[in-house]
Amino acid sequence: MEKEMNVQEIIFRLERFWADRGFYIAVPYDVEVGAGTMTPDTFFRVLDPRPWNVAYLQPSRRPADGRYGENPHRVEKHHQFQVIAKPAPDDIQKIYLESLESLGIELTEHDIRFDEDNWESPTIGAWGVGWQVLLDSLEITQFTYFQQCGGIELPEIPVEITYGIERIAMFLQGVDSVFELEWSPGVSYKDVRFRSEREFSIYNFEKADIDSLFLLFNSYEREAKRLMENNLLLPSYDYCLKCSHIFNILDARGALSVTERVGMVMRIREIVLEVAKRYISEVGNG
Amino acid sequence: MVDFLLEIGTEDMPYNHVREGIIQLSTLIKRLLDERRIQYKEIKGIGTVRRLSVYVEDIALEEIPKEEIIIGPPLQVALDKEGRPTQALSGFLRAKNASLNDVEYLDTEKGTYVCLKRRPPAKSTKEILEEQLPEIILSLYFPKTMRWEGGVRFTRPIRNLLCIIGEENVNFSIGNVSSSRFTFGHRIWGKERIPIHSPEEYMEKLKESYVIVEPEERKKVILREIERIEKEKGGKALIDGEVIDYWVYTVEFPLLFIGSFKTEHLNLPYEVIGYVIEKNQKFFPLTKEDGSYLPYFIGVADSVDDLKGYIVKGAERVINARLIDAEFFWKKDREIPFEVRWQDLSKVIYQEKLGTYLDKSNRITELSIFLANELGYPEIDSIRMASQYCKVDLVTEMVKEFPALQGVMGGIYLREEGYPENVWKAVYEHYKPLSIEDSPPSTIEGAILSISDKIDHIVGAFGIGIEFSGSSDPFALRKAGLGICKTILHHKIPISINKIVEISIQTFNNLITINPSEVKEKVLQFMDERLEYIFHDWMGFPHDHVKAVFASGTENIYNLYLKLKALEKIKDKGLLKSLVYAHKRIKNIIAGQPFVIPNEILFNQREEKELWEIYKELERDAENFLKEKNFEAILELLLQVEPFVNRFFDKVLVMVDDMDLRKNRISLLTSVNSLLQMVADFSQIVV
Repeated sequence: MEKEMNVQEIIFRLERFWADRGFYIAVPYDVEVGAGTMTPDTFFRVLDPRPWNVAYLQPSRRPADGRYGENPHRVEKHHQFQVIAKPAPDDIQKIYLESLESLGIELTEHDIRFDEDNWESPTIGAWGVGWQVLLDSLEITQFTYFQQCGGIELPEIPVEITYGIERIAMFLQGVDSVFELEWSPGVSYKDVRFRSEREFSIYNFEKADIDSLFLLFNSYEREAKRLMENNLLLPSYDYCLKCSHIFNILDARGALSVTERVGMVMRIREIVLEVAKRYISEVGNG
Repeated sequence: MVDFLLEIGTEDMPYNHVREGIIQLSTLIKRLLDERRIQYKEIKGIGTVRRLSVYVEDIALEEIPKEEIIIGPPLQVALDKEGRPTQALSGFLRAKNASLNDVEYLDTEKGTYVCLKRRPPAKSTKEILEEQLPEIILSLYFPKTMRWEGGVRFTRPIRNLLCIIGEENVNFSIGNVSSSRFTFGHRIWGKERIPIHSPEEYMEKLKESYVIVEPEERKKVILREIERIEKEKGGKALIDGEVIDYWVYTVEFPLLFIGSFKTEHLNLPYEVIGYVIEKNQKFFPLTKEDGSYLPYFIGVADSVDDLKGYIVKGAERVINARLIDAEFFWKKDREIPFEVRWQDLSKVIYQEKLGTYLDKSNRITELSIFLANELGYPEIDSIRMASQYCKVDLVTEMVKEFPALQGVMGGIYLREEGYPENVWKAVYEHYKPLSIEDSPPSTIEGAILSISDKIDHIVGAFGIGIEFSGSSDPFALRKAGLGICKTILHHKIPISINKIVEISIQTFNNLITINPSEVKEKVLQFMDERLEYIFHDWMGFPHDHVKAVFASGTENIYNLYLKLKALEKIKDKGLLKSLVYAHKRIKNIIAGQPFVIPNEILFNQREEKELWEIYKELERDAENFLKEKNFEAILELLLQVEPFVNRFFDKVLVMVDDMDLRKNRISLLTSVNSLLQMVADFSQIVV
């Protein structure tokens, strides 16, 4: 491996790589999401058949994965680099490998494996077929051909490439803990992320006020529905994302019984599916 | 003679799709060649994670077409009395563009007809393949398929098609890919575009580009390398057949390497280390002679070499990280005893309609205790504990992270907490047998728990209308059913499935949405089918024997096995044959009438009395043998009845006008029938 590459340099290089191939580099979405897939630049844009090529960094929050900043591999908020290519180019696997080379990874020195891993998200009615990409046994990317989104059979198949920034950085820098990563010269991952990890873990697992969160969930859900009925689909979807995040906190907090959990996912899903349907009837899907 | 080659180049397919796909593809092409009578010497399916290929050696360049027979008018219409062609015949010949010289005759049931025999011009093999291959390729079955640009479905996108016969291209397309004579090498090490001039050079050219296209050869390399490393490290690798297959069908150019992990992790339970290396990373653990682990593993990569050691280092880091996680879970999980943790099962759903795992544990407990009592097993408290705690490991961190360790982990944690062996071992093994090849739980407590768990699973599924089909069984019902049968047979458990299903249905209270009697009937039929599979397909008992003993009632599974064994052991096939005929005669006469005791006073012929006397004697003896389950002895007894039955039929008329007499004789035969049915419905045996 060449000179160790810090986190921000990885992000710059991936942005550069995809921008050079004509991709629109979006900015991270400003509502909490559990994965890049849930952002509007992916969710809405894969629904219709028009070409769409986008790449962007997306912070992703998974409250249940927090470990108070004490686990070397698990964090409440991690960073994905999300790429959507629609239609998927025939040589997309090759392009992806070139993007790894742009990070200074000399492929002949490593082992790359595309290991079957199909993906599904009931909350947004989406599933796809694909792989986890292993680089010397470490999972660094999720690679998926979407088949369905918002409960809709997609007219044009997009490919989604989700790089795990922390994983790739740990690989490139050869460190065993995410907190040891160098984010930029002289600034570590611990410097920028540790306090947040600790405090959000305390909040998510111990201090989140369950009653308030249930009230928020219900209000957000009501707002999502109302906006959807008014055909304000992007605002409605934002409130679905907020519901999903509140749900994730309640779940991490251990506040949900089994039936509640299933029920709440279904409530969000119902609105999301209707939003997708209305979106398609406006922009057309053929 | 030329060879034929087809290669479907794809993005990386799941290993099992490659494994089955190779077989399917060559089978379908073989069928096409046979159907069209295209001759060839040998056909072989090969391939890798990125290609499914078929190689046909010495293929004929054209088919041998089938002779067509065109039937014309009947002979007497075609020729007049003087034997001259009629209008009808010349019309027929004109329509078919034939002359009198072409006429032949065909004898049918309806008489002789005039006909024409023609062999259509042979189509070239190339043409036939061009027509048929797209359909054949797209008809391959994969458990999960996808769509991509181009509008077709396959396991993963098709990106290249190579198809040649001799030096000629076979032209067709699928989606937006057209066939050509180009293939592609290893993703990283090989050439991207390799022309193949004729099939003979295919494998060699690929090898030059770091692709070993024959699965058998990759397997040899992998096994040879494992052996080399074993010798080098002085250990024995644990080789799982499925893991070998995973690598054979996941890499194009296998590179094996040895990695190590920190010795401190050797303190983890044996099962956990094995799981991380074997199941999680699909590597091969190395063991010492005593079976314990060495701190080494053998890894596989798809590469030519690892000069800088990055591949090994990466694998070691992942394994060490997983083992560190496992250490953490191992420590943390043991902080809360199962007695406390048990309550958490109320938070884990088993099935939406069937409640939580707490509900399920309660049902299993009830069922296991019933079973234990039925079997006269004395330590009910152990059974109760094992049943209540068998699912608790689902809320441990270790099982959340490594789900396949369920059961095993529960057993280990209970052992650590000091529970007696008959408790922890039952929990440890209660998911067994995991497949039809796997062994059932080794202890009777484990068997009881395993049966209860699986019956609950099956009854619950049928109870809420979950069904399965030939290709889809998401609830793994068949596996559970086979598991129950295997466990009962192994432990010789004398229970009635009927009864246990009834009890199980009761334990669901009102959770079951389908009518209980219907559920029971469905489950019993389902279990019969599983049993038939075990006896016939798995153990190899003849199908008619299985049917025959099933007709004696499938209540007690182990008895059925003993009956089949007894049947198998009959040396004198002639005696059996006579018994089969005798039973057939009896069944024809009694026509399904149930067992009725005859009235001895009404017997008026010697043969009737004799048959009745021997019946009574044999019945008494058979009942005694039944107590010790000595079906061989019972069968010996039954064979003795045959001459009496035949003498009866020879001398006594059953269907007499006197209805009382007639009924009494039929009753006598129903008695004999019920005696025979103790072992089997012999009339179903094919002789």
